[in-house]
Amino acid sequence: MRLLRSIMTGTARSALLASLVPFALAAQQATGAIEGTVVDGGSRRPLQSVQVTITGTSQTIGSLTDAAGKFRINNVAAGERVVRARLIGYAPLSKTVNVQPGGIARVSFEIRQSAVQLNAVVTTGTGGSQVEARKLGNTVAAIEAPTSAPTSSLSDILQGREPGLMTMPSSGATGEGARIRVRGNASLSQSNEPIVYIDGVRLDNGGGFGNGFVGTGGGGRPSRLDDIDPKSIEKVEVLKGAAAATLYGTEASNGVILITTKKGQLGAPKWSIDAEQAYTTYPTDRIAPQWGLARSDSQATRLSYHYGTPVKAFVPFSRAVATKLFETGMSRTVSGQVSGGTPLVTYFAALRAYNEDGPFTADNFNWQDRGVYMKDINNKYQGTVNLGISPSTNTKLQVNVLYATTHNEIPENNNSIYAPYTVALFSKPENAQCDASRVGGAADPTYGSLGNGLCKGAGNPTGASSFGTMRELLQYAIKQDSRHFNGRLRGSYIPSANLNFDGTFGVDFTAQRSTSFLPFGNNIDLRINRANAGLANVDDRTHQEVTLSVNGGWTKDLMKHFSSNLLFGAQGFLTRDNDESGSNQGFPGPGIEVVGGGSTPRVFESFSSIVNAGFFAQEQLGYRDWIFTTFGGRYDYNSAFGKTEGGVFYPQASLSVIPSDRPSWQGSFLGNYVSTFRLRAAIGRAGRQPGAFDKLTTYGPLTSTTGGGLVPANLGNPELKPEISTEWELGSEFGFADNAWSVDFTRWGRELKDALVARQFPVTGGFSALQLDNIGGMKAWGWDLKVKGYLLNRPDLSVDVYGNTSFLSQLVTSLGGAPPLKVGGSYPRYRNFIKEGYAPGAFFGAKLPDPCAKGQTTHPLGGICLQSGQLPFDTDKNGVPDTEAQLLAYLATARPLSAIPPLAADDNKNKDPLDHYDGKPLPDFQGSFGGSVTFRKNWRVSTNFEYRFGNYTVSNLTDAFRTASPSNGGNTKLRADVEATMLNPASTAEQRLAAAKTYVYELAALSPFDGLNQQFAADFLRWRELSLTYTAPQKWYSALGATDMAITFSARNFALWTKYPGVDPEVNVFGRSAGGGTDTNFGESIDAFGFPIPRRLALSVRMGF
Amino acid sequence: MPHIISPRRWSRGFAAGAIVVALGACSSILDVKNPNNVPESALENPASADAQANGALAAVVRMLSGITVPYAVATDELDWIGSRDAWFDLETGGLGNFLNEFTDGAFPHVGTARYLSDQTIRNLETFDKAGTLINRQSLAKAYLYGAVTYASIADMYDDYAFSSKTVPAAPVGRANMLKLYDTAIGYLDKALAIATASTDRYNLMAYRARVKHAKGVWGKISPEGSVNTASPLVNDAGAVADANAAIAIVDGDAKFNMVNNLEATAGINIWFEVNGRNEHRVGAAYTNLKDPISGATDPTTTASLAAFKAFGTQSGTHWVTSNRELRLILAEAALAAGNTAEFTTQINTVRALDGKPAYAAQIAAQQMLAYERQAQLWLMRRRLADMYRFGQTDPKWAANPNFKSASTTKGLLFPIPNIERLGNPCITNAAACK
Repeated sequence: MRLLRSIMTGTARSALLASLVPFALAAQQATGAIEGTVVDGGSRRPLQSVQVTITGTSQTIGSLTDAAGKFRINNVAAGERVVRARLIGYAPLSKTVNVQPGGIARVSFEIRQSAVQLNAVVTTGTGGSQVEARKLGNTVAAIEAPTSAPTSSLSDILQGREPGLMTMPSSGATGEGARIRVRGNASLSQSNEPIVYIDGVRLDNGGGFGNGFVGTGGGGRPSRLDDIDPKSIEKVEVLKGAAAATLYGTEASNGVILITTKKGQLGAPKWSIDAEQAYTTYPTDRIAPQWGLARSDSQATRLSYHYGTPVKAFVPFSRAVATKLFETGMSRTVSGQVSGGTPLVTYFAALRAYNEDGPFTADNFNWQDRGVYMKDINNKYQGTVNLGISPSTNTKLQVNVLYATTHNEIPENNNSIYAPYTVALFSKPENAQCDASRVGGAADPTYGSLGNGLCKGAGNPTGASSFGTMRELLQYAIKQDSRHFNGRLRGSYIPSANLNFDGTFGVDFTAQRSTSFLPFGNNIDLRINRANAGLANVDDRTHQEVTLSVNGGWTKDLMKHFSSNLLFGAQGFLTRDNDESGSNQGFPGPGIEVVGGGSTPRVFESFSSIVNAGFFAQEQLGYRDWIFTTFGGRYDYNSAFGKTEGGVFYPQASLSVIPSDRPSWQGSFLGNYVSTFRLRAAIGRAGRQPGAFDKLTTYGPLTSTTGGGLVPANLGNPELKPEISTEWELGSEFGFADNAWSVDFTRWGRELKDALVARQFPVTGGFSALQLDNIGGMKAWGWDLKVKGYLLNRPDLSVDVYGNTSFLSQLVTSLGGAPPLKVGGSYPRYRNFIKEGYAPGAFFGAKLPDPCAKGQTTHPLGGICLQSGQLPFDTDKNGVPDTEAQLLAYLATARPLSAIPPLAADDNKNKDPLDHYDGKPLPDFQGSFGGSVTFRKNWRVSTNFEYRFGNYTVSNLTDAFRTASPSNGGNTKLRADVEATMLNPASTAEQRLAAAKTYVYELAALSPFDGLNQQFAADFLRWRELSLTYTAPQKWYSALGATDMAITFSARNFALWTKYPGVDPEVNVFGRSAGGGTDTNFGESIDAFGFPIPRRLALSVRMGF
Repeated sequence: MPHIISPRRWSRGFAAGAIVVALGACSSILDVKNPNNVPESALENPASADAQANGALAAVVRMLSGITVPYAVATDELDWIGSRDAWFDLETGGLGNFLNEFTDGAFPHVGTARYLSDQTIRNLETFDKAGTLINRQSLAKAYLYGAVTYASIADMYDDYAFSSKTVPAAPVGRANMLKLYDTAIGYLDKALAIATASTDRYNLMAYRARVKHAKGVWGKISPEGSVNTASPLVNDAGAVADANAAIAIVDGDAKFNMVNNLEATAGINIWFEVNGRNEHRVGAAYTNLKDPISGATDPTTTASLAAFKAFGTQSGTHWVTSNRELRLILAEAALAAGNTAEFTTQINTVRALDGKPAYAAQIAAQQMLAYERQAQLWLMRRRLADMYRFGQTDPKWAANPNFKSASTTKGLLFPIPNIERLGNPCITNAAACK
């Protein structure tokens, strides 16, 4: 480390500075330095990473405090200077010092914790324009993750911090990114993901494996957002909706996430080195073993031999198959950062290496060492370099470069018949057999088994479900390698203190290559028929985002009490996405692993290009520095409409009133109790445009045996226009007890008009693809509440707590006469619908007939209801529910479960038994709470809990299979008990009747009873983060030349409390995607065989130099 | 501190940037080309005629790929053994469930094939009248593809609607489904007036025979619920004439097949479903089908199963019709006319192709006919109607308290499924659309 430090302080810096000598010489003038310390005003602990800056001049220079709270700012122009100390969580404090030429001015700060952050500078507009939060009528949420928080990706940073912002992983697959929703859904058909900018440059926020032949089955989709080194992020801000994001125009209706990376600070280089070792495990205690039963004595005899333990007919027994796919995963992270600078050049550079081998393993199924290839790997190497160049006092250049290379290996998972975890979950231990290893046919007394649960050779020793044995399935390898570059050049010119110009040019470029491979001869157990002569798929996706923006700002005092801040500019971006994919199977022999080696090639190619550009202007008027009103708008053009079409105007307005900033507030009656009080309101519009080619009627290629053909593709709609989302919000902030406590409340509403609905026109009309039409409408409203407080702040103990919650209500008000949309198309097991009068994505499904109300013989809507003594069966098919007596007679003999199908209700007699409302996938309430405790000076505990509750429903398709499927699943203990009772000749009719009731009221599901016993309340509280940090005494690290050292033990997803009966209420079948569409937008809360969210424990060491 | 870059230059730079963005917003960069597809106007170009005909073929093949599996599972041709239990509806004869995901998923391909066939015929006829159609054989083929589409719809569905793009149409009703055969026959008539190649003429003639026979069969199983099992045989003079004419064009074991291109495979691919995914297996009624004369495993079915297996998992061939079927049509007509000798001749000609011993009245002639049709026409979308009219049932068919089943409603065909019911308001409220 000393060597590195020596290099940076010596040779490298000399070289760098030498190259800039001409500039430096030119910059010389009479200067001095400012030194000082910053400590916490309560505990008097030194504060690290406090921004100390010189204000009131056109030149912004400053420094960060070190671990001892010390700072030094060199080359400060001589004279009286205002020095400002600012740290998130503290009230900023300014002091005036006199800087003598060549001298050192000293100043010390005692800053006080402040739960109110109205003076924080936030990003608004485009091009990085910034303003104090108090002047805005809309909220700009700042995501604050404690430095000790167990976060390893941007997805982790965003999770559970901000009310109304939900990050939703689809499963616990290693390397998976999360979907992001801000205040729910703002579009019925277009992407519901917020757009993301990093340092003013639009970022590829896609994910997955491209649109071609490579996929994992659903989950485990990497996110390009996670290519960002989380250690390089200085702050993340979220504009939650149209009221805040109007200046971002088209596509901003789902909010905007603004990521700002760290920048260099004046002074000697400061190094920081982090190393972490982490362990991950899946919650095996929430995964019930696989149960089954022998249906005859001969089967019991064979199974007894196979497993080496007694198995009796009709006596359920179990084996843990699915959890054998789990191990303890490990990850290692090493990262380093350096920052520093001169008046001419400041720099920040970071490198990070992250290597993870996750908690999935194929090794336990590699019997006879036939080879398994499936792994879960997540390796990332990330680099960030930011340079700030100040060639003059009023010009500045910023160069930001981010580069990341990643390697992922993901097991096939979720709703795939070839996913090992899925097949293992649905294994039926009674189906274990080693017939392919039998010698001498049926006479072989060993049945081909080794007698220990394994086969001598080929066979299905675990009773894997239909599609392959475990080791056959585990030969499939899915990989992705990606390179992600993001670069920005920003020039700023500040001709005067009142006027500034900015220009930003940026490029974000992603190249990802995904492959999947199944070797020749993979049917080693003679069971799988996927591609026995091998299979190779490849998908190359390149994605490019070019951002160009120019903007100016002009501030001026108007008359005596008014101030004006005018922002104006133009911004555009060009998005291009190319995707090429190939697939082949049928290799001539082993050893070939490339697509070109097969015999049945398939190809895929797609191209998409979007150009969006617009002008914007915003005027902010201030009155006496406590009333601010803002109004402005953006006029946008989009290539979806071509050059001949006009643009669309998105207006905005806001008001911020801060009575507590009036001089008369302090000392007033209210002022005695309320330290800070602000009222605010905002309204704005944003939109979503249709896809680049949605307006065109097109025919696409489809090959026939006689040559290339054309078939209907896109129905087209030349009348398409952007959908308009209008959002308003009213809010207030309160600070109490000298701002030690804060309450922040926002009530918002949103109306979506001209909503683009992906409409299904009659498929007999020839065009079966959904066609967009501006016919829909959706309303939403909600509120966000944040409470934060500093309970104690003493030298030996400080405690701070926070809590936040949000409420969300959404309603599809109109589909314009179009039929309801269903997630998954005709696939009946996903029950989310877009229906008028319901929340988007609401569940509908089968149900059993209700008991008849008193005096009624039918359901009020006309369908069947159950009279007293009737049960939801109709074994004699006479249209009348059976009585218990009838059933007892029917069940006098053993019956399979297929002989007692439930009688499905059709309450409204529309012949659709699957249209009963079953709940909605997003909760009413979502939020988090936590806090931190610092004790004995060196110890700090931070924690975060996240929760969702209130009409939160998850469709438990996993257990629907495990309770209901006769062939794949049907393997819970209850199912085995019921089935044993029904089939056992020794059972009585009464026992079978009881079993039948259990079956129909608790187990029956899947087609044609989709949704029955499938949707469950999924409220949960999750202990998301826990960290314990020890700040080491100097003697521990001084010999290393370090300036500080901290050791942190942390845990992520430490515990879960929920009544949800499935494995995890957060899993979902659809993984991250930046695109739109019914499945991507509303395929929510579907628990379909995904890996559960793992628990992660980590030990990390951080040292500063 | 002197300026390294002058403010004026900066100002100019910003102005230039603003202009670039402004120009970008207004200029041709907003006109993004779509290289993925072609605009509809391309179909007005006579040079696209062959591509349109090829597209119609691909769409028809895709339709067959989509609908054959649900049809075969609903009969005894395939048995469900997999995971997607909506197949269980069909396996138990529950054709009446319009919500079934597999009939629902297949139907869009039916809609596209019908619309595209008609549009292609219309466009090529226009080119032909204008004298710009370079290859008239493309028009003949388009007629054939249209005929296959119309006849297949009539074979399998109890109703249909002829919508156009966004304009919904009312369903025609089961009673009018017979007219679809007439449309098919009309197309084949026109095609035969154009086609020159013997292979094409054979396909057209053979298929016209099959359509005319199918029209007769349809009359035996309609209306729903009143299947004429007492008089199940069809004796259609047109079918007989066409069958003989086709055999005269190409004798022997000739077949009219449509080869499924992998890219034209529907979401449900019968070869993958059976040979790959193991979602279904060959029906137990076929795996050990015993010839009623010899008592041996039927070699015809054995060969069909082997051929099907050899297709693998990706793609294969749809068997549309053959001289075997034509001779069975001739045999049936003869039997219906009381011409036992001709019946025996035709049956034995077919049986001889696989070396099966001659039929000599060992069993009832109708039983022999029914058996041979079962053995010879596996996966040719004829089985359901034959089961109805010959009074056969799949042992797996069962009554269901929640929807119509073939076990209780003879003559039941696929209903217009949910995807069309939702998108076409005329389906559930036909009166409003008339």
